[in-house]
Amino acid sequence: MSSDHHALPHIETEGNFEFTNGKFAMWLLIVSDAMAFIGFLGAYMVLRISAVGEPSLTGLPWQPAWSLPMDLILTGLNTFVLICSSVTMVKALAALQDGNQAGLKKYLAMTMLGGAFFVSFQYYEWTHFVHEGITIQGMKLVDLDTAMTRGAAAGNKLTKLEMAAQMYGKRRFEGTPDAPAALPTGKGAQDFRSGNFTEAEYLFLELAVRDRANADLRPVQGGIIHHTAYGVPGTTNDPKGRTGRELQEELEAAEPAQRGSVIQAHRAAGSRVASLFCSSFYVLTGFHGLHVAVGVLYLGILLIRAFQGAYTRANSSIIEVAGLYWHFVDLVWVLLFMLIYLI
Amino acid sequence: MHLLEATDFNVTTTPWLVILGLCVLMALVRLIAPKFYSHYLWSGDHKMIGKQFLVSSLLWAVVGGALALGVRWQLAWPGSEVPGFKALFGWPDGGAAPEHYNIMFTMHASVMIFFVIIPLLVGAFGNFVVPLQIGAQDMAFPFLNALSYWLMWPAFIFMAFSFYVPGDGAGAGWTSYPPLSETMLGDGQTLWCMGVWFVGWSSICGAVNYITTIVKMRAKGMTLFRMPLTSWSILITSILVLCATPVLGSAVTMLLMDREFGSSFFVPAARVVSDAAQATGGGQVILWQHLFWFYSHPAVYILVLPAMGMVSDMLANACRKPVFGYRPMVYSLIAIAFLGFVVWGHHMFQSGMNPALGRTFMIATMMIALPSAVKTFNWLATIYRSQMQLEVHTLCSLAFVSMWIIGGLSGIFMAATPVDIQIHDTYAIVAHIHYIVFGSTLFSVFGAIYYWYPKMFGRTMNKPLAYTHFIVTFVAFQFTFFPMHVVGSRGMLRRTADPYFYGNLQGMLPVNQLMTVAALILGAAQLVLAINFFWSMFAGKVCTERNPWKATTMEWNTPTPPVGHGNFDVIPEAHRGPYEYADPDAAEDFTPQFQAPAGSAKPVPHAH
Amino acid sequence: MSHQDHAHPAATAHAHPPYLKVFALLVALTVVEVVVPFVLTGSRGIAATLLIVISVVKILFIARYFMHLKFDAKILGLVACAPLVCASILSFVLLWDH
Repeated sequence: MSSDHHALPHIETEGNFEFTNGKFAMWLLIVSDAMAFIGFLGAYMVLRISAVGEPSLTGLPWQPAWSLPMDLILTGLNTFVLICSSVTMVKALAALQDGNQAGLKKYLAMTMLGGAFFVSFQYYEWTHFVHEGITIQGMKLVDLDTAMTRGAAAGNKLTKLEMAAQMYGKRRFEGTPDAPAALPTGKGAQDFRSGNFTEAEYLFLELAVRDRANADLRPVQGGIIHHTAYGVPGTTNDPKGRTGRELQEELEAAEPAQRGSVIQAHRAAGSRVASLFCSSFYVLTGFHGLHVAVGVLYLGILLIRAFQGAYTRANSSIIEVAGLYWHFVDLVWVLLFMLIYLI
Repeated sequence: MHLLEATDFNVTTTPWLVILGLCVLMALVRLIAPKFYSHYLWSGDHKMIGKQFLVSSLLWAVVGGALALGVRWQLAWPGSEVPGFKALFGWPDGGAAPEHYNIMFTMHASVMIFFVIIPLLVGAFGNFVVPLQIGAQDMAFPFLNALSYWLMWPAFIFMAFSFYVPGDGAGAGWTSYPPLSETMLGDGQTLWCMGVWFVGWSSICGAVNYITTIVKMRAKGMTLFRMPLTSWSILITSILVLCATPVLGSAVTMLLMDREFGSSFFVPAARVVSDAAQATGGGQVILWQHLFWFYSHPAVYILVLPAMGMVSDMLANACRKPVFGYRPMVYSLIAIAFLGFVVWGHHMFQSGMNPALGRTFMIATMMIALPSAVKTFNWLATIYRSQMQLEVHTLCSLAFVSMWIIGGLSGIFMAATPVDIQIHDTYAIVAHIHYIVFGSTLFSVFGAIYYWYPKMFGRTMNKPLAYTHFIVTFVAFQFTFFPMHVVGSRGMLRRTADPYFYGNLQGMLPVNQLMTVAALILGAAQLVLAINFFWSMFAGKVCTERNPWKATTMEWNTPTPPVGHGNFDVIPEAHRGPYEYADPDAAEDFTPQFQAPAGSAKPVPHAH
Repeated sequence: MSHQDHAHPAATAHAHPPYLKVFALLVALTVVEVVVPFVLTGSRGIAATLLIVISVVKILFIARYFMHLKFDAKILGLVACAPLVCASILSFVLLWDH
């Protein structure tokens, strides 16, 4: 029992690691931050895998052909800027370790500029998306012609009818796609012929509404019935100030012949189709962008202190710790860029 | 809905304004009374922060306890007004309406878990005890430590406000499963999310600090395997917090996004959320359950591991014997923590999860019984044939071990999928969780309060009152929670405002009334603790002895109470393992870690 | 300490990890990544696998050289592995259950 005292004449000091408390704590913070990203990425993974490949009764494809395609080249350049800022960060540390104060300031400033550029580009990308009707709430309804233009720009070769199927839901109908047996007749057909909306658009609207009339309360494909002016009340900009729900009720109550004008009201009101792609895109890039923004502030403080001559070789670990955070943000972007933009 | 629109501005800004007001108030105090400010408010001293956590958690326990009594009241006298609730929460029905019942059980669990148990174990005792036990002068980052306490305050404010907004509070259960938590109108649920978010930040700040402190700042000679089990358990718990809490953070962020900004992570197809038209989002409700339990199952161990550590310390001290199997105790802590990460699905057997996964989770869950049994038998072996000193903390530790056995055994039953399908969402589950979290954890906290009180405040608590508190609490506890096993296995559902609506449950009213009366006594007994705690702080018997319990660990090598910022008036050094009781070679029946060996003046005694 | 800072500039400069080489590698891999979706339009599976592999390589280089894991105490590498373990558990279950 008492052998312990005699067996250990020397004192073990496991507490003496070479690294500073700050460096260890930053690694721990990185672990916990990584876990937060893993939470979001896990959600992204599940939602994306379970998203249907093509329009179905319960959902949109992950990124429908008519949604705004992302500009890979521009975002790739932005990624390049972030990698540059990562290498300038290690250069700053190396300069400090070599006793090169001017180099430290120069490289810190470059790192900060790189980060600021990255956030600014992200801001530009977001505003561009919002301008095109893609928000966290979903995708704005576009008309078939715009959808065709966007689809062509993204390199897909859908026919107009296929595109309408993507937008309004694929429905089984009799006849061939080119000569469907369920073409509307009567008053609706007149309306159709009067050119208010296209053949495919009318067809799918008609079928979608009929599905609901058959007491099938499952949601039909997003597009017309399942537009949403989501979340925050008053986001529609309908001239009459109707909410998304009121518009929907109006649509369901309207005579078939009147529905075309209701749909146009929806478009005017900026109704959106809820989309998991949109939700994930904004939350993931937003969370990452927040990290970059925080990093830019962090670097800014370091830069001011560097101009005051606060850093020497002896306390270079302060720069190293900031670098750890910055490289972690870069590392996460490698993952996000691959998962969101490339795959 | 219109209610929501009309009041949107007020509810979302008022808590923020109150937080701002708190900041201004703190700044004013800093100007007017800087010493008071740096000693009692923004103190970097781990001992003061521990006391801050202790006092605020005990105050929140009053709220959580009142809500629990509200729940019990409804189960005994359904549809009647709970006394005082009309005035307390401003509910015209005094808590009789089913939606208020939902709010009561939701907030009871949320308050007890996030504001009472976790801050008590990790925040209060972790803070106070760990640096003293490992021989550090303070935590590694005093600022971060203070931040981790003051981040609790936004959480306090959000949760407190959630009772007074349209909708009267969060009522989707503490698990907040969507779609209910998404469709719940009113801002209570949103404020709940904000509160949990801030609690998460507080926990993470604390965890980073504990791990760094324990890894880097141990005193000379304090090797990892000379650390007392309290410090070990806080280290392991902090690792759990560090890896699990952020996942809850991201889940709650997504829930907030869904509720406030119209994303659709957890919005299933064909659901209507806050005035929106039907969405084809097709979000995944089970995804929330996975992410939530990925945090909340490890959180169950966050709720009990530090209690295990403290009980090990107190039992060794009370029994005057070394903890039986110190290293297995450490290894089983690690094993429980690791297994805690791979068993969360046992909360979801009924969720429609893949059945193959259910089987995997069932087996993993049953494996936790192994390290748990190692711990249990080691405690029993520590107690076995010991000369036990029947102090109050001894009684509390014994209560811990025995309640842990009962709660742990019912846990094994629940781990089996077929049994769980039978008793899922019944009072059997409620009995299990309360045997662990009240029966085990809270009794160990009571014990820890009595044990470390002299070191904290330099006074001892009144013994007769302490014994009274323990005995009444223990007996009332059994009458409150044991019958829940019975009514639960006979099918009484939890989270049901008026279970007697169902014919098969009508016969259970008398048992429930018995449980409620016992619960009222249980609640009243806590007044004794509160009186004893606050009265002794100012008028208790002064204790200046460094080591009143004749304990072996490092915290008893400081002045009582430790004076000022910085703990030790001697250079702390550990010379041996933490539990050198009953050493036949030693003069006394205990040899503290900090006592230098007899021949220590010679560096190498057996050199020649 | 300043005399030390300037005493052996060449020696200390050589002591730094090859940052610029790693940088060049990262840029090259990024270019490949951006090109992949344009070239491998037909086979999404192959493209996805390739992209994941490239990302893992990039992450390893950032962690080992820029974050100095290659040169630091082993315990830091151990700490860095913790989220990987958690992530694999979580994604294993989520993918099995989706």
